Amino acid sequence: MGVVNLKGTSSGIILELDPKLPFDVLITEIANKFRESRSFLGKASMGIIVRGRTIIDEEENEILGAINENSDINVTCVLREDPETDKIFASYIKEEVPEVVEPAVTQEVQQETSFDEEKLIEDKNSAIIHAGNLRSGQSITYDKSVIIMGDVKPGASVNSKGSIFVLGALRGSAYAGTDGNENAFVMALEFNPLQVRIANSIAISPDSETGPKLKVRRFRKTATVKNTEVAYILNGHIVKDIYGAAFLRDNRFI
Amino acid sequence: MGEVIVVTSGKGGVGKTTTTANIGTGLAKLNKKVVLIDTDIGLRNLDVVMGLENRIVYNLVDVVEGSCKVKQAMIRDKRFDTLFLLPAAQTKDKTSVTPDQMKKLADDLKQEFDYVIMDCPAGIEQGFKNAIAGAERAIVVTTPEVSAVRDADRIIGLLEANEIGKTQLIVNRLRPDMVKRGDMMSAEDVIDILAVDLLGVVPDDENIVIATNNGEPLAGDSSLAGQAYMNICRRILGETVPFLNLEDKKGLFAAIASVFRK
Repeated sequence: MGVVNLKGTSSGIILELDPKLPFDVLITEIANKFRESRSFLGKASMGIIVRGRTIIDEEENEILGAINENSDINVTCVLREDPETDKIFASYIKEEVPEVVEPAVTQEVQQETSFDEEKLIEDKNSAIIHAGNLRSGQSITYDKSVIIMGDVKPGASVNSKGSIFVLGALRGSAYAGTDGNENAFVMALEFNPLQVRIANSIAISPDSETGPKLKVRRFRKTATVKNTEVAYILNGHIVKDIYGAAFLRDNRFI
Repeated sequence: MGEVIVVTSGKGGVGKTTTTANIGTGLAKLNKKVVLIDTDIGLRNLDVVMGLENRIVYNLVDVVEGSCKVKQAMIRDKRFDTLFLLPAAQTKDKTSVTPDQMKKLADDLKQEFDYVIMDCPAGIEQGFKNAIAGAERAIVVTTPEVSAVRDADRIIGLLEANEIGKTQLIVNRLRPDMVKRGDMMSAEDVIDILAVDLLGVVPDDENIVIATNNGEPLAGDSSLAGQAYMNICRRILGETVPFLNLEDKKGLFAAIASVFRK
């Protein structure tokens, strides 16, 4: 192993630096390495991960400068690695794939590379899809919004930091905006929950709706028009509304 | 200082939860301060029978784990201001709570309430042990069927082994017409087998089913079962109340019904 090592992954280069040597020794070595591999690397665009030592902004600029001078590649991003993350990666590798250490490292690193800010914003607007019914005693909790393709039965509960969409009947409990997000809402094709919580507010179903109406409802089932409804916070209270154009126009939710 | 009562049976489906709800309602009607604790963690029902399902925010496990205060978890009844429910958790299981924790909870609650009533789950495992942990008195519910009576016998043995002072029996879902024909054990037959004090006999009554579906226990209303439960509550308070004459009432009712049938 030299003082500087280059490793290729499918979309980037891992630059391993010796932690003991001074930086000016390393920077000349980096320049040498890239000069040697100039033809091999070609004109590709790629990201670079710096591993082995913690670098500061100036050093990063110097490394980029050296790469620019000595090769034709276009560096799209630079990631620094700190020993703490490495330890975490190492512990994963020990648990899961004890034999194939090297490939596993690059794989983990790539996952880390893809986890940048854009991805975070994307996460915020995306949702988990849960296929199937949630029955009594079952409960799911997610950081993202949740789409449930099925029913939420009485005694079941859905908890989400975002909003909740039930593509079926909501008859159990739904808790949207668990971390206090008052713009979260709960929507269901058949909206008949025991309890809806949004941020710090709670709404319960009217008492008269439980019990005896079961029978009546069964008789009238064909006659009643089921409206897709939505619950959200308006002036500090949870209100129920028809999920239609009027709700969608109110773009504070979207 | 209140009293902790456990309602248990061994066998499932004999009416423990219905009995708990009705005794709680009845005692509250007699101006007692009552808290009902559903110890059937994972298969809670008492909240549905009481019609309080939609009000649950915290539950028994939250209280025991210290996630909330007891006062926050207790739900006040729709109709009676002195009646409270401490619901079970639905997403946990019986092992989430230990007998010691239940005993401490019961001891705390009886300082404030006249009666702390535990609704015991079926079976003799952890849930049963939790429910009886703090109890000073037990009400065993059975139906006049050999299977339920055999389980009740086992339960009474376990209660004695755990040194629960007073054990009384409720014979539930008795059908006087079947007893008369000799097709069903009478309350006296059940008492003979089990050798415990009889607290009351509740007739099989379709009003119970309606009341359960409505989420409004019927103790104290004009139905036969409602009167039977009210008498049971009076006996719990120490009054001497004569047993209802189920047969005569049934006879009269049947007579009227038969008139209409013609």
